[in-house]
Amino acid sequence: MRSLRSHLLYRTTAVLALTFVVAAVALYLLMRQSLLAELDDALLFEAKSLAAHVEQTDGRVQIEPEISGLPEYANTAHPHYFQLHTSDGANPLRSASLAGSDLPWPIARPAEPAYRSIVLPGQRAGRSVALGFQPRPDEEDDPADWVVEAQRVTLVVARETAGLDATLARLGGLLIVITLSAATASVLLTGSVVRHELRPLRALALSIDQISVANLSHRVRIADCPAELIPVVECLDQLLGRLDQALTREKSFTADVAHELRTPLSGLETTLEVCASRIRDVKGYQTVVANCLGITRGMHVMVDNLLHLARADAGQFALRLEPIEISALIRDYWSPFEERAAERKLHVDWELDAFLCALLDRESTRQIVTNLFDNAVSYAAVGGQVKTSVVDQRSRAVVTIANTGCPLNKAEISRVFDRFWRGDASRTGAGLHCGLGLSVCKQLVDLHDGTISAEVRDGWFIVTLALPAVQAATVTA
Amino acid sequence: MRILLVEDFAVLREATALGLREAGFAVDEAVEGETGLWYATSNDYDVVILDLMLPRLDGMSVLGRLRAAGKKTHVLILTARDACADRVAGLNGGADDYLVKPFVFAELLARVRALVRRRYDSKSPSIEVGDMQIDTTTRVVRRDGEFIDLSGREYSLLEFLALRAGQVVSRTEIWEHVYEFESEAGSNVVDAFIRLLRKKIERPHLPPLIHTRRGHGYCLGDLH
Repeated sequence: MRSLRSHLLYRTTAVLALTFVVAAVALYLLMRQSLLAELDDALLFEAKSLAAHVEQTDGRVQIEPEISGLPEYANTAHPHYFQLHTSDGANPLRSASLAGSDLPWPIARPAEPAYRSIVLPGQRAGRSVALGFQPRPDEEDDPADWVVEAQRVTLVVARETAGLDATLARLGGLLIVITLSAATASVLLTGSVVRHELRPLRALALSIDQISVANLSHRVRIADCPAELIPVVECLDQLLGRLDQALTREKSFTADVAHELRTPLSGLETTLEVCASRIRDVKGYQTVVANCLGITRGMHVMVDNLLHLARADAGQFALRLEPIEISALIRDYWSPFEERAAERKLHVDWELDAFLCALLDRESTRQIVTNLFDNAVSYAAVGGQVKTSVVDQRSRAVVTIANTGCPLNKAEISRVFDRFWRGDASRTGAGLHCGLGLSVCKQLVDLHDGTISAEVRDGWFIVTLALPAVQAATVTA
Repeated sequence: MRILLVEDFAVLREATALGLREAGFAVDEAVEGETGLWYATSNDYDVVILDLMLPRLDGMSVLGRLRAAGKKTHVLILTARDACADRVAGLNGGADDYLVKPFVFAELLARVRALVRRRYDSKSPSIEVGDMQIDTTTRVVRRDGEFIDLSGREYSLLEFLALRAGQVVSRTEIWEHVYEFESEAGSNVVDAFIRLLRKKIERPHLPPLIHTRRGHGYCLGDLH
């Protein structure tokens, strides 16, 4: 797995180590060049000093013996070397330290001092300078004799470089040690810096780790949150907020479902238990059976509604749309409510456009209309009114179902489509209005690309549906 | 014993009331909170069974106002709300007991009986007055070991007198604790039942148990 920390550590260390190595090499080369230049200067000085003591006497070139006989040119442990060639090809002059052997010779006669690293007799490393010059004539000679052509002389002076090499080797060793120490120190330092700077990430992980389903209302908290992490923390907090809301909704929905199922269940259980506690007459049993049947029917409707909501929420609900004459359908769905409406002495009005067709799913429409009729009949005041109309309004089939006796205010009306919301804690009727009907209606109408709205006007509770209408001509075709 | 049942779900209310009546309680029913509160404040019930989700005035408000009015009636909350917070709120709000729906009717009955006993400072389900034993759970009455067969009303009257044994109980108190609203009113009814009860429990060879305190009421057993 890619680790931010190891990446930061490796890359920083690699860059630092490379920098140290380059710096060390550059320093080494610089030192080497400077030491060589110093040596070369010393060689040139020596060569020039020697050259000053080279004389030409009677055409012969020689070095003053007090110079050539200096102890450093003798055959000692670390001698200096020189060798002198003349242009007439006479025997070269050598320092005693050469013991008759030759120094490596420059290919051309140098006009300028020429420096080379060479191998000295005895396979020792050395450095030489070659100098071309014209020896001065013997001061004691008669200038008249200077007719002899002056010779061109090439002088090579050399020294061992063992001391220089040892110094350079020591320097190199020192630089390697320094570079390695610096690299190690940088690894440690970078590691600690990276660890320190990545602390907010660990704090973030720790903070997130402490959040569980039980405390989703908590938010991610980091002390001294770096600017780069603020958007991450904000996004996480927003995500937590959304999760919390969804979970709270889910929890309250489940609690509501349980609560709403408990009441009818309790009714069933107590009714049956009390009934079974002794032998009763036929009428007593009939009443109990009728009551229990009423409760189970109500529970059936509720479970249907719940299932509908759950399926629609999960997107598993498919409509089978077909053109339907909506007014006739609505009249059909009214028939189960006629008896209850009569019991409650409701005055029922109709205003139906008989030829209006809409593109509807039959089963969903039944559920919508049944829910709305059930509400209207249950909540209308005894002796009140229920009014249903179906009209064509700009290619929409507009269905209005209204009832009198609405005690709700405007603020409450805005909540009627919420799940499990009830205007009053009451369970009027069979005790089974659990506040799901209108939310199911809304969901089904939304699936039909329609709209549903509720309003209260002069004590009337009015629900208006607008569904996509189709022309009668299209239907017959 | 007289009980007020406040429950809006008709089927459940009717079944519970029937079960309680068959267990010998006098039961008044209220459909919504305001009526429930009015009944509870204007009568001296032994137990009030209160639903929480009620139309017009919710159960917790009924309970609050009842306690604010200084009523010490034992209240049993009967609700579908089962969360710990709801139970705590209910009991802290002044309820004496809390039962969650759906419930087993026998448990409701047992709890109601326990509340009745608590009201009359009695721990035991059986009451002894002189040589008479009353088992309030099985509703069996014996005098000097002999079983006495009583009707529901007679038993209720005897149980109420026995719970207040040694004290003078007025006709109004008897009326309030043994009879429902729907019963025919009048102190004559109480006197008539006392006469019937005397016929069944008094024995010529045993000392009388029910004493009449003229102008005050009746007393079961010797006056404390």
